[in-house]
Amino acid sequence: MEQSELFEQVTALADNEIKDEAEIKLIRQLIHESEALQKEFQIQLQTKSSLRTRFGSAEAPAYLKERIISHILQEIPLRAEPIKKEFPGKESPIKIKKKSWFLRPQFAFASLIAAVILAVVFFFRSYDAGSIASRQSGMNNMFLKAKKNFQSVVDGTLPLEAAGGSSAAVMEYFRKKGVKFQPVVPQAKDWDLIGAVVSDDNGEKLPHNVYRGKDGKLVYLYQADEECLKKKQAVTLSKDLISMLDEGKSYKYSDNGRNYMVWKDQGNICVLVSNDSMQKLESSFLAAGK
Amino acid sequence: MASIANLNVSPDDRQKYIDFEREALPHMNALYNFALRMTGNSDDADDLVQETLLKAFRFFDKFEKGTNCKAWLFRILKNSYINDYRKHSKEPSKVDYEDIENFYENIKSSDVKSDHLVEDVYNNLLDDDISSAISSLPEDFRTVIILSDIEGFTYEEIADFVDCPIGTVRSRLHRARKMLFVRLNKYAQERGYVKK
Repeated sequence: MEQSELFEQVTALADNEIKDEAEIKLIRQLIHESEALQKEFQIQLQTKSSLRTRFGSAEAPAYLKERIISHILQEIPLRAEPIKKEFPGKESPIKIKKKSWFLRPQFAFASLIAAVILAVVFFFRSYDAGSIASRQSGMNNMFLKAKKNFQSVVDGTLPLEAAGGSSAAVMEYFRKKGVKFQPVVPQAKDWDLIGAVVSDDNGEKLPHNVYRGKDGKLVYLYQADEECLKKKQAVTLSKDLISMLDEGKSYKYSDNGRNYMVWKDQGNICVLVSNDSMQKLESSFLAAGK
Repeated sequence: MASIANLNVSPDDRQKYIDFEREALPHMNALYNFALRMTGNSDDADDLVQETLLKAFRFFDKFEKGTNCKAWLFRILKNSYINDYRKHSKEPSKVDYEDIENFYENIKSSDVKSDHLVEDVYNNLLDDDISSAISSLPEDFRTVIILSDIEGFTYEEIADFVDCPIGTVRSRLHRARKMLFVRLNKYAQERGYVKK
């Protein structure tokens, strides 16, 4: 065995990579007999154990774990329909009774008519505000992103890069950060512009601004231009909501203490989320854009 | 922390996430540790680990359950490192194997004079000294020493990762430890921790 090969065998022994008992015995014997091999073995073993002890238990930072999990969850498509409540075990007796009643022949035709009426009612009802909100889905959906981002603003986990101040300063920040269109930065009465950030949404730089009211309420505004939404589809909204905006209408929705407004201003699609009253938001932001 | 519990997602997607959380996410620390030592920069390590785990989640259907998930994740990380990170950073230090061989040949075991020298060197130096010595190793050598000594990979797993025979892994590892020790010994001498 050549010396270099012998040294490498010593390394393999230090790593428990030699499986043959006779070979292990031979290498150990050679190490025992040679001072050079003993020192070689010592270097290999000590290096291995020192690195393992010192660096083997390093942990990824908590913020990174949170960020990754959040990104992964955004990858999962959300379902528009509500979660079905499932009865544990057997079907409820009430449900079985109703089913058998409707299945009787004398009621079959009536059931069909009722089903058609219900479908028509459902079709027309589907254009109400709540249904539009429930049809927003997908990881690139602006409405859903705005909803999540607002929660991050409330939790203090959305890092605002630009300090607040004047609309002009924030506009300049957006320009420097690569926003290609002219964003809307309302200077609303009774609201302080406290900061802004630019996101990269599928290669498009999109602006976000955050306001705080005198009573501590928050407003978050997220924008994209029409090209970004319709042609490049870097972000999305449901078709009915886009049609509504194209007709010059604004969309308002309230849920769980949050008020949402979506409107089009100077060709930009604006999605606003706040924990303040809809009336105040309309007068401060929607009216400001008209 | 964000959770899937309150999301309205399909049962298949929910199960995929639960499986991923159980199989893959426990290896995040190991991925981060490796990424940090390969890039030498916490921001780059963050991005690399994030990219790796997002790709892994997208292709989790391709992962064969019951096989080595850690090795699978490290292969994804390696590809991301080569394709995304290294492409945008400066070219990796090219390894001139002849130079390494000469360097290695010049190190004699007799240079290790004291019985406790190796132990003294490692015990006296700070983590930062050892980290920078690891970072200064050529990439091929740095990779094997991190995978073996810090991450606890076997020769076979390392060979699969670096795409070379087991014999080459053993040889590189042997030389990597020797080079690392010589550099650390030099630091220790300069700081007066061991005699020149």
